[in-house]
Amino acid sequence: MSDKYDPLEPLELLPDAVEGYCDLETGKCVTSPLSADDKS
Amino acid sequence: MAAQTDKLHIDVWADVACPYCYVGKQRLKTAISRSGHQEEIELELHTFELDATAPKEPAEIASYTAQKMGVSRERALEMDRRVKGMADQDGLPYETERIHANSFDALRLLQLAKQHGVANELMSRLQRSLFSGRRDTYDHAAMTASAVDLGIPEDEVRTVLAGDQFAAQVRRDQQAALRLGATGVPFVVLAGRYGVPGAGTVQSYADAIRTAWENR
Repeated sequence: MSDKYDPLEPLELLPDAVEGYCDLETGKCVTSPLSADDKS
Repeated sequence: MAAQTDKLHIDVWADVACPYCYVGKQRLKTAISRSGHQEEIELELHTFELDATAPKEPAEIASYTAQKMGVSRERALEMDRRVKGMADQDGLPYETERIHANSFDALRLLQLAKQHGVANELMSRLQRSLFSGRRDTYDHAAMTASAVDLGIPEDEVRTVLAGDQFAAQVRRDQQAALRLGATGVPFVVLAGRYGVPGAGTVQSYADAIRTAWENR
């Protein structure tokens, strides 16, 4: 498994696609683009 | 990297309790079904424990979120209603009055389901149960029934839920996502090259699939 997920080159991220996500650090789920309220 | 085959491999990291994973996976599946390459796309689920501090005993989600994030309960509900709006548009049941609990046992069970080739199906069932407002989603009896219904031998399910089997695999999945630079879930990687962090629209997933398909 480790070989499979260790790409030699960084992923090309497609951030324009994001409508919302749950943050891995805080566990908070926010709508994108982030509003000031979401960050509270 | 995904193996070099004619097929397009799509990896998805998600947690049962993650509302955007619930919405995002449905949209990704819709995009796959419309891609014209449905039979040539492999969708592989990976687990990610979003909230390791979640209680074993179910708590009411809005109150839990409010306390954890330091916001009012009404504010927590308001944020959740935004996701409900997305789910409603996609025809997914979504109750803001639902439970939240530790999902680690469910994620371990999903690792067993993966061995039986039904991880995506079990994830869909668990999420539909949770977000429909069922309070017994994480109960071992309910999870056992769902897993057995998908063809996983009951003795294997009971053994997993009674112990800590697959805990290491859950952790490894998590570390793999972090190594790839994931900062949120759902986290989708297409052809081992293109990453979509967070829930996209059906169109954005379709665009990503097209790009990955042409460059796989």
